[in-house]
Amino acid sequence: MIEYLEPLINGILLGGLYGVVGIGLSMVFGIMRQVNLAHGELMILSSYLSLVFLQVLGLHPLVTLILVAPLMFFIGYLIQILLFNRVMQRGMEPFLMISFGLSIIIQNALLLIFTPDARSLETAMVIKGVDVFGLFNIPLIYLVNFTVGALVLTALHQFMKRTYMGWAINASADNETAAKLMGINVNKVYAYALGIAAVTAAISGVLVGMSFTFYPHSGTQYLIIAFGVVIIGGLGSLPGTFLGGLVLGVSQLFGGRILGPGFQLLSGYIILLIILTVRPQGILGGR
Amino acid sequence: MPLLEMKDVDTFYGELQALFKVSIEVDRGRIVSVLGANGAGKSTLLKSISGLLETRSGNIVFDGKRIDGLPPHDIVDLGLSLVPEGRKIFSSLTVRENLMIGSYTPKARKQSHKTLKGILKLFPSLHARISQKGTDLSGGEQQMLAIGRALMSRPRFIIFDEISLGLSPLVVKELYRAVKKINQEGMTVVLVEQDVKRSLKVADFAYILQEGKVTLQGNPRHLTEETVKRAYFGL
Amino acid sequence: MTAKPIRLTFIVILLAFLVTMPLWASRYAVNVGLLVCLYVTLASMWNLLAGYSGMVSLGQQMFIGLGGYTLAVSSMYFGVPVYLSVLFGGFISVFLAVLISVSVFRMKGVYFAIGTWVIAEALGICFSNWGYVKYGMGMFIQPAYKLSMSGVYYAGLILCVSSVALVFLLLRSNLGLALMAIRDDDQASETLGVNIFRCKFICFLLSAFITGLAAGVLYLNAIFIQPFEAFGISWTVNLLFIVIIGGIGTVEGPILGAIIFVLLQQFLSEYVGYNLIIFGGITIGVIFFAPRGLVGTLQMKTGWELFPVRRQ
Repeated sequence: MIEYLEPLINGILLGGLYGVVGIGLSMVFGIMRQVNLAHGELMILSSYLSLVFLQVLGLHPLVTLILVAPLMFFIGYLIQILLFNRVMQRGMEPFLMISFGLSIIIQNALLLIFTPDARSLETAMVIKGVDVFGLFNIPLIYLVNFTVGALVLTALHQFMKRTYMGWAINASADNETAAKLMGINVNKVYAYALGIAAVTAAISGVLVGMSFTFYPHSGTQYLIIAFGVVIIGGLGSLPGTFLGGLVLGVSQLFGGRILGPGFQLLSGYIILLIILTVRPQGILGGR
Repeated sequence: MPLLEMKDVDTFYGELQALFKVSIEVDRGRIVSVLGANGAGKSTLLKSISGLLETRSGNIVFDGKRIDGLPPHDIVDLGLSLVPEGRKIFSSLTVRENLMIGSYTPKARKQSHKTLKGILKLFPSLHARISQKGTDLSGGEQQMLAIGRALMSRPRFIIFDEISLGLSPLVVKELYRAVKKINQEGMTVVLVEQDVKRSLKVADFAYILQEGKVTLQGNPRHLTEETVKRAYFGL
Repeated sequence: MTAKPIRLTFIVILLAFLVTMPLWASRYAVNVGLLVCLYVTLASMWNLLAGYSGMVSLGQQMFIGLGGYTLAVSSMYFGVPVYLSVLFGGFISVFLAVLISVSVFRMKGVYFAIGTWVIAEALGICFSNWGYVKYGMGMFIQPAYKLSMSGVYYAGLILCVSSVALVFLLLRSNLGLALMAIRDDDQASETLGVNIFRCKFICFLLSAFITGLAAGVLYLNAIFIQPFEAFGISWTVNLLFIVIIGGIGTVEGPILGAIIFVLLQQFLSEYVGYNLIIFGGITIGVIFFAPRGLVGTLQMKTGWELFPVRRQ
């Protein structure tokens, strides 16, 4: 029993992080009915931005978010205004391609600037562990990830329920024409939505950077994790995203424990494919 | 000077012309009725006024300001609000949130709580359902919600598109009572309707559209049933 | 109509040029020609799915990896002649396609795209954890070392010509008519008795088969195969780029796109790092300014098609 308790707890904690990784993708899909293939790159871009601030200003990675988050909001806002808003009405493919193009550009720009070397946002949290009933150790960073992840998802939920921008985002997603009649500038609202999605990318990028090593092309891997989370939970569903993160995290660590560490990602993918086959709309997705 | 003046407006859907040199005037504090059969151009007219559709020629002046070519959200900000046909309640928002989103414009936001109180007094039945999902309400309540939502922007000018569509006579009566009350509080009202009789009863002035053109206009008391019918159906 | 002889002459000259190429061109030029041929093949197959059958796949690399690895394993471990191994690669790809069709045909639109991608990634992980194929280190395909350049080139050329001809003939067949009906309005065509599943299934298998073959020839030329490269998303990114700039849903699009892609790749190879940034920029630019791609935009302006698929 106890040997399975460890992957279970670690999996749940990892799932909290995965929830934040997926939330940005889920938002964009829920609101615009579009898939942003550049989401993983926005995450890794944030990891590198944090690295720069960390090295130049000597800040703790989490503190760099004070600078990285607003910067990413601005970048997300601009991407929506300059690129995505122009193809929103043309169906799924143009949006896919544009975001694909963007992801290639970001990935290779990072490669040029930072070289293909592995990087990480080093903190003492990776080494420190928390003792669980004297049975095993949980890395402190996992606890931090889960806490931040849960906070972000709660904060986002409150934002959507309590602010004018939150209502406007929901209203635009429900019915664009009616939203316009409320005095809502729908294009601007979408830009805010992508800005917020980019902020969640910033937070997950910094957490991922603190927990694991990253490379310029790591975005692809996290995009697939984000897809996993979002598909398991249902595209566009906020509580579903959290659940999706947990399912993916736990199944990865169990798979790793049973089949060997090389199969961690694989077991996540298999769960994902099973869910895609049986319930393409996700566990909590209604559509 | 009329509050809204529309002059020689042509509007197209792609290459298809839907409005032909339509001119309309609405004086301050009036209730003006716009009538017409299905496909007569009523919806196009409203879309042109509210900025959802671009006009090709002519001009629309609201309170001394050209509004043709402005985006819809700027027009709402000037104080012109539209209650859309089919109510278009936001399904992921509660009743309260549906009302609050109506006060999205900066001016309306400052007084939102005061406005909300007034609206709940006008439609007490919404009060009891304030935290339910907007789309869980009955048809009549949804219409009240749609009207309340439009009022939240504190408009000077409010347009009702097919307010009585698919509702029971009792509910329609109540809605019309609300419309009169809204008008008495100083708002200029435009009613777009297929229900000719009821709409003409409350209106100070009427326009009848047919195939994208104004075929008749005048004070409802001076219009005979015969001329209305002819203008409406083109008999 | 004078368009038909012009068209035929054009095609004959082009074919003559391609067939005689190893006789007069440099080794480098033949290599570039081979790459163009293979990319035309791969892109035509992606186009058959995305442009005509409404299946935007992000997982064509699963067949590329599988085709490559089948070649490596059967020629290295079992001593099967290389060209026969290439053929095996095609069959194994079809086998995989049949296997996964149970799952992916339940997915629509975006879900299909993601599902196919995830399968390719999963295969990449499997191969990198599989001792039989030397884990992530990859395999040298030694038997391919001895092949002559022109032999590999002709294999690529045959694939290229036959895949274009296949798509062209397919679209002019009843299946093609059914596909276009599905693309335009799948509910209407269903009621008209078009078996949508069957049409899409045939395209999916064909695409898997030819992609698997092309992958074999590709790795005859490359000689070295590694799981994360072979099953990497960048293959499909390249195909997307080719088809988008060429013109999605046209027979000529992948041809023009592949020529531009390979030439750009050669030209930009000196500027390592910038080349993909430029690709990304061009993709975005084309979507904004020529939404139907170069061929689609040209056709709209001139009305001329090299391969008219609509029957008069």
